[in-house]
Amino acid sequence: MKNKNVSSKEQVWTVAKWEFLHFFKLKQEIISKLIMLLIAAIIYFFAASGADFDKQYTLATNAEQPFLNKINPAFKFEHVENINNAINKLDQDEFDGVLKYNEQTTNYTLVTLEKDLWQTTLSSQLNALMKQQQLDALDLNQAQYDSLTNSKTIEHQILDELIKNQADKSQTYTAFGVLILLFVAMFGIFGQLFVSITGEKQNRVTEQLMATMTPQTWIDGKLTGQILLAVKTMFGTLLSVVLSMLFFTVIIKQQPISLDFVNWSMLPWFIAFAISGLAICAAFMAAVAAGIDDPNHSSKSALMMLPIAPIAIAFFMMDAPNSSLSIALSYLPFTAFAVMPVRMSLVDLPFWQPFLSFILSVGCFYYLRIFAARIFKMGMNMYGKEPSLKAMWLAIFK
Amino acid sequence: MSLTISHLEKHYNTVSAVDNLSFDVQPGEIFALLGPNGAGKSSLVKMLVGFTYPDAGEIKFVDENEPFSSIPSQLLGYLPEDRGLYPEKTLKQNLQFFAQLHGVTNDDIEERCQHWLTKFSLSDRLNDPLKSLSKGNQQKVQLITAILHKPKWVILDEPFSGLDPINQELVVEFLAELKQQGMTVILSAHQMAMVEKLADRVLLLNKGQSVLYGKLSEVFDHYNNHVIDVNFRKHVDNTQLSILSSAFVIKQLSTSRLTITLNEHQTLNELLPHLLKLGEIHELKNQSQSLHAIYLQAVAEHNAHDCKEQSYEK
Repeated sequence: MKNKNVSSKEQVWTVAKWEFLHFFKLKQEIISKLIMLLIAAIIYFFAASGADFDKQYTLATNAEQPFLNKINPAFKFEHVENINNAINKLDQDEFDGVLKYNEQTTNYTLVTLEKDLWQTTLSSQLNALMKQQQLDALDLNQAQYDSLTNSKTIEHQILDELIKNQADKSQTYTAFGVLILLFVAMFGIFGQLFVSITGEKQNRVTEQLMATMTPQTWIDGKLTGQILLAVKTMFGTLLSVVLSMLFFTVIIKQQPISLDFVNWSMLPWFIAFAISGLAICAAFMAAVAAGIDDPNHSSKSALMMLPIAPIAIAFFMMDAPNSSLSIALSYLPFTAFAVMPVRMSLVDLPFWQPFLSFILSVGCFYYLRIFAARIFKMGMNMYGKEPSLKAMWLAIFK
Repeated sequence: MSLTISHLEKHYNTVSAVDNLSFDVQPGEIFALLGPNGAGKSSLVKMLVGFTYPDAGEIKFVDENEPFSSIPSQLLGYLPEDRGLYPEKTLKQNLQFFAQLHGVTNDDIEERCQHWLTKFSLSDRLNDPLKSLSKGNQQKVQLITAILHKPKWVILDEPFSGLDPINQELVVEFLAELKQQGMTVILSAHQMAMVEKLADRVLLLNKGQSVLYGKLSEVFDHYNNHVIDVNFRKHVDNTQLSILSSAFVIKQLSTSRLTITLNEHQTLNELLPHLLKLGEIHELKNQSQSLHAIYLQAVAEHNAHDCKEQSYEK
């Protein structure tokens, strides 16, 4: 019974699976999706029962306005002489509501006993009809009427040929959509890596681990597991967003769903940059967490949030995608994963530019994981003493 | 396969944790590292495992003619002094994870887990979270973790600490079985009674230096042959006793009983005529010292020698 010779790649994969399954709980995932479905069912139930247009609502009114006949037939108006008497009788269920007209102010007041969804529908229909009535009263010709109803906007023409057609917003929407998903995933990585690395130190399991593999193998396994978890978070969040959109558009509004806002040709680029960003940030966070001995008393944990800053920077870069600063940041590995996709969505770039930026990011990740392992090994041998930032810096380049 | 340590040194700032240490460990033996707290045992162990590097000297581990500067992880089973596994995970998950890291197949893991957990009376706790076990039982699980992959070399840092006498005996049996399976065991311990039962050879460290090194039987022979317990039928002759005291180290326990410590140049044959001059001998025997007593004596002698050297330097 001899053990097979285990390679460091196999060890990396074993650690990655351990890390992934430590945070991924299938039962909890299923429960959260079931809760989403339950919420959707509740919303659907209230929407369907609240907007019961098979029922006819009868309203008493003292107005003699012919436009009331144009309102949805679900609402029936009965003219009464004494409107206050009708209001007083609302609790006797003779009328569902009262539409009171004030001749002096020409204002309408809807009076009901309780609040219900049909009242919102009626109010919006009344508002639209009154607006139309006001316009009709002005006795406008077609040109005047069109001028009032169609608002004018300024057209912005950019002479720089590299700037993409602003009418096609799909690339920008896609880029920012991926960035938002990245932002969500990055918060997940921050929490999980912090708990995982410092937790193992607190549980004194690191020496046992280091007797079985190198610090590099351990860090690589942890990072692989965390990146897989982050990708799962991104796709899980995307799935929830798409399902919510489908639900509200198709089921509630009963309209066809359109995915025109997604630019499918650019999506693989954006996903590749997102994964490179996750990898760089995870390696940076792992390096910082590796230098923390006691999470309750360390001031270094705040440093772990630094990689989230580039996402905020990317939003500002939107207004000047071809500025020198934007160009520089789109190649700098710590910001490229956020800035380059935004530039790509706004500016026509030759292939080599995003490709070079991506290669630089991969190179940065390669070295960051080595630095993280060195800091971890140094911290492990300090016997409960937290290494200073200077000591961490020296350990990297030793 | 062999482990040879030559002139090893490790310093932390001005403190010398390991000082010019040389020894070797033979394959298949149980080698005990002894010494008071701060003697340098853990520093030595960390270098053997490869966590830290020596400042001077050499660790030479040779396996199949290939030299290494520490024991390679695939050949090593290690129980650290700082114990800990994953408390939220079950025993099975913990054992499986570490065994998989060493390339043990799932079938073998199950079989070996069953074997060792039964030995430690923990087989019914396989699916319980580790944190639900007592500290002692958690330590037993960690011992199993260290050897589940059947390493050729096992380093155990304080395997008996924190265990009650019954569990200490279980660990003695455990270590004996490892030896039977052909594993080489290096252990550091303070429990001399346990070491006496197990160890083939010992190395006693004090202040990072080797104080005592060799086969356990030789250590006993050395110390026990040098202390002679003599009982006389009547009171000893005090005049003759004062003459004898000038040549031998004598401790008078009663008017008719003496303990005589021989130095390395003195023999029992040389002593015997002098003893007969003191009176009629009723009983004469080598005093049997426990390892515990030898440990205390050796450390005390080393400390005294160290103080003397320091005062000479001054």
